[in-house]
Amino acid sequence: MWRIDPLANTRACGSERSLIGLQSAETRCQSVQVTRYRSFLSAFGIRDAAELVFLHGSEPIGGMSLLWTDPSGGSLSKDHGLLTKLHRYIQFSFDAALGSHLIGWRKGLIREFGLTPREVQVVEAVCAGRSNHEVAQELSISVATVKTHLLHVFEKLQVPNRAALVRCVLQ
Amino acid sequence: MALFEVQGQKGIRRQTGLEGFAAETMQFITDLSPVSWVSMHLFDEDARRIWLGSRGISARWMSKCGASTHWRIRAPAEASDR
Repeated sequence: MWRIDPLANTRACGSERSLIGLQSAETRCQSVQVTRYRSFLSAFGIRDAAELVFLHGSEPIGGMSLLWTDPSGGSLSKDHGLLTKLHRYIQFSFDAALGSHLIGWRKGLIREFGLTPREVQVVEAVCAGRSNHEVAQELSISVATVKTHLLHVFEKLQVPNRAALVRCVLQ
Repeated sequence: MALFEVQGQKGIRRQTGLEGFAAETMQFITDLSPVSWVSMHLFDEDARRIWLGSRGISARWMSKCGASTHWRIRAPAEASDR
């Protein structure tokens, strides 16, 4: 059933909306899919569902699935205004939490292995799957400079290649 | 977002470090709104949901739907118990 989930990010991310309900999902999915999904939800006593989407820059980075089960309680249509306000606050908190998390990760690399800030940028790009050419473009440096940074990083982290680098950093 | 890359649903992956923030945020939203169940996740580069936590969700729902729509990141100690 999850394959037809109308609130899945792959279907929701193009909408540029921060609060997506089943009703608005009908515009992107086949109506029969949404009806089928609603029927599936009702088997669990779920009356309504919505997704809050949080962005990091312009990319969807996280989300919150909201489900209403209480027959006398709310629904997205009733709580839309409140949830829109809460979304702004949570987005702000999300940015702060993510920022401090990444800063902590970067500080760890700098402190533990003596990497320079530029080397950390190269490591981040490599861990994100970028090629040397892509890293060079992203950081506005030459491919030769990227290779030099990577050689220094390999030496400092005592790893033989980029695969071992990614494994070392992510573990 | 390299920190959240997923290597395989059954694989050993690190904590995101945002689980505590997620727990506080979910409590915040359930305290201030009539929402019954809430779960929070990150999206990886393939738009898969990476589980951060949930609040109020029934075990029946989780086993039927939640587990299949979210990827879980396991701490090394937890994974080594498998």
